[in-house]
Amino acid sequence: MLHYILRRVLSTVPVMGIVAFLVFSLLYLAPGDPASVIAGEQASAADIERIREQLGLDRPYLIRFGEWLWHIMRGDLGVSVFSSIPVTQLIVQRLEPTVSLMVYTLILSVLIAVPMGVLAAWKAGTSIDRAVMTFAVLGFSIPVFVIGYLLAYVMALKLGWFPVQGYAPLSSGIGPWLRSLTLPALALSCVYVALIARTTRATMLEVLNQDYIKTARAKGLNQFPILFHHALKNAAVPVVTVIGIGVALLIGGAVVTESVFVLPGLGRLTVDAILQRDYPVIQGVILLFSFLYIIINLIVDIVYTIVDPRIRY
Amino acid sequence: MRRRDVLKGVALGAASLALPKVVIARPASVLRYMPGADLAVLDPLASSAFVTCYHANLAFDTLFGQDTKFNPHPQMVDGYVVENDGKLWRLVLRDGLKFHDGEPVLARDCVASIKRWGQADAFGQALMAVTNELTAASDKEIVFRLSRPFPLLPAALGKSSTYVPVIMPERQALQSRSQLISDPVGSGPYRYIHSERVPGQLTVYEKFADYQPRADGVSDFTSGPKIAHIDRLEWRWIPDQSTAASALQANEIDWWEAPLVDLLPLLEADPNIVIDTIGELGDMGIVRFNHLQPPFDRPEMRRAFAKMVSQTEMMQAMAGRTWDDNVGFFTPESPMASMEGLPIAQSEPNFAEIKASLAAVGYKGEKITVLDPPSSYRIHTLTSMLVDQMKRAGLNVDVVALDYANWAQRRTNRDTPENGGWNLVATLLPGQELWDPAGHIALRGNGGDAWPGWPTSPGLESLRDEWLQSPDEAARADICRRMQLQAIQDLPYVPAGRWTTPTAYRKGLTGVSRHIPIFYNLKIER
Repeated sequence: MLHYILRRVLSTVPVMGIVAFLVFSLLYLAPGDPASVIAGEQASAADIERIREQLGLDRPYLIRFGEWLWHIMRGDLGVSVFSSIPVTQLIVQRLEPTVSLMVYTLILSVLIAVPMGVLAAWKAGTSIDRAVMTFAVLGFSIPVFVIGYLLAYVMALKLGWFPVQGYAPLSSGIGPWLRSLTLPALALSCVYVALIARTTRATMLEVLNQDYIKTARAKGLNQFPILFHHALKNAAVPVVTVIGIGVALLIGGAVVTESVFVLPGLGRLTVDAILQRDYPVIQGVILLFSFLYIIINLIVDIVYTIVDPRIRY
Repeated sequence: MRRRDVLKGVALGAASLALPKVVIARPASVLRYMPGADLAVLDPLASSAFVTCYHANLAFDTLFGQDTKFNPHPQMVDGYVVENDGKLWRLVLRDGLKFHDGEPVLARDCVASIKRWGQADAFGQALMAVTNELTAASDKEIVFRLSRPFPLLPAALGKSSTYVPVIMPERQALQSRSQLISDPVGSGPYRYIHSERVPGQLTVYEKFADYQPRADGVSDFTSGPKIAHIDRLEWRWIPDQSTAASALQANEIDWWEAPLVDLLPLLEADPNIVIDTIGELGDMGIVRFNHLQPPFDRPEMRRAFAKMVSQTEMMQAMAGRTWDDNVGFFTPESPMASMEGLPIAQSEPNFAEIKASLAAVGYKGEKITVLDPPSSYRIHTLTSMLVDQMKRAGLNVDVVALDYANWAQRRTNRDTPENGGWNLVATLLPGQELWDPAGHIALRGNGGDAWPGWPTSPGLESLRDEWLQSPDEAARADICRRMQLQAIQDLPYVPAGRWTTPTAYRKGLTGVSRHIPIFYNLKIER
């Protein structure tokens, strides 16, 4: 297993190299540059050209790429062209809200979706099943920002239970931290709940029709241990896969959710950087997301061996 | 880890939710302000963004200030004398001026700052062009030796619009302009707090305890005593307009600079919110030609085209509420504005006639490339109306939709549209910038050095020079009248109307300035 993990970790190096090349090249080819955004509406062409030169945007592609790669290899992601703050510092500054949001959403989603899926499979064909599936369809269909606006309007503006926007760091206490994250996490978890609930239901239906479940029922076991001990464990591999894949959804969803709820996270950082063409920040954040995605896939593969002992690497 | 330990941890976490809130010591007063755009650039001379101009007026001080009618008054300057027939100016700094790092403000800081500003600003460039020598005669005295009289020197050094002639420490002012200043040190009544900045989210300023307001004069716009009544200012950028509206209603922000017109009825219905039009000079619509590329390289084509730009239609789509049509090249309230030569186009143009006149000046259906940034709603609205009018006039329009960064960059491309250039853009400039020829970048005719569009008009340039040297307002107004007539002939651009955007703040905020958000002399009661 250790050998496998080591091999997988080492395999991230060429993958990250390809990602780095693609990200840099795409940004190079994309029209627009930060100089015109920095200079503003009233700037002359000469002003913009002066800033382009200062940023080194007038230099050849290969020189820029080589320099950037050299710095990356030394752990230096560069400096934001707007704020002059190192990209690493910006990422660290924005990591807490995004990680908090993702973890909270993940916990919330799994806690809601897995029982929902199990319940729907157990009561397949009944009104409970149809209600769960209706929720799943709605969760997939309604855009995150619409759910976000609705939640903010009802639960923040009308009822006053939560703040409309903003983020309270963990250092300000668990209460304020949870209050600031609950609405964004609820909005973001809708699609995720729908995805996990549907997958759980489908795999549970398959498992519940197997002979060993029928035997357990015949032995007079209660429904609860049958569903959650015998069936769910064997239905877990596809569910774990979906949870892993869903992290990519969360990253995408966090971009929208952080904008609607004004969370100073990595999603907002990415959007702002793209709109401003802040190249070092875009490159740094995408590299980080790629790395996280590879690591999450590795964790998912390791979890397989825990939930299904037949799987060996 | 044992299950019991995990359960214990969860129980402790849950219990902490029920604990009484920890009372955090807060400053006596905080203003939470949402600007019209994110403050992306802190260097006051690097970006012409309006929000950077507000930041410049807040964290920095200027030698002269302006009253609400844009008349200059001494601010950092205690007094000044003019000698040698207006060619020698001696400015003396007042006592007690300090930078936010605790260092005293010296004349050499001012000299370096003025020189830096003189490279960036059009008014500054005009002043520097007649300055033979700018020196610090002592720690307190700044001396200008000019080649010819420049009566507008106090107005130049007191302007509050882009680029503001801010005073910064010599070490920052001498820094290359190519290098952005990311941790600016000013000497204004509020101090920028670099350690609390979250780019794209939060900018914080605190009252500068060592600031010495003027002892004389009346507080009016950027002139007179600048009193910081509020201890802490938090500029919170909320990118989503609906969220901003909810935040204002929920008392999570105090002041929203520029709400969407569509959201005004919602905010007006809230008895705790005041809707106020502080930017009475508003924004002026501009239809800018690329003078380097056909067909708008020919003045007769520009003049035929200008007849179809109905300001009424443009403003109805743009503002919905408070707008003016039939405006010329200067802000209507300015003493420099006149009705000379107006209107350029009728409210309801006769498009059949315009089509014929375009054909008569040689338009043969060539494709006209118009740049449109849909993400920038104000420019997009103006562009959409322009395109509609062009289609009704029978022009062959090619609309190129781009995001703002790309739009801004492509606008500087002087090449043909096929090679990444353009023929037309619709845009806007604040009315304050179009008050007179000094900062009116759209009315320059200096060719390749001009604002994108690059018009060449020796007539406009010569009149501008005459205006800068003119000794009194009546003479200056007459020159502007002639400038308008010249502009209607050369058409560096077509005026597209003027509109104002209301601001929204919670009740309890008093002393809100006119024109642009100014944070000193402002009070808040909760």
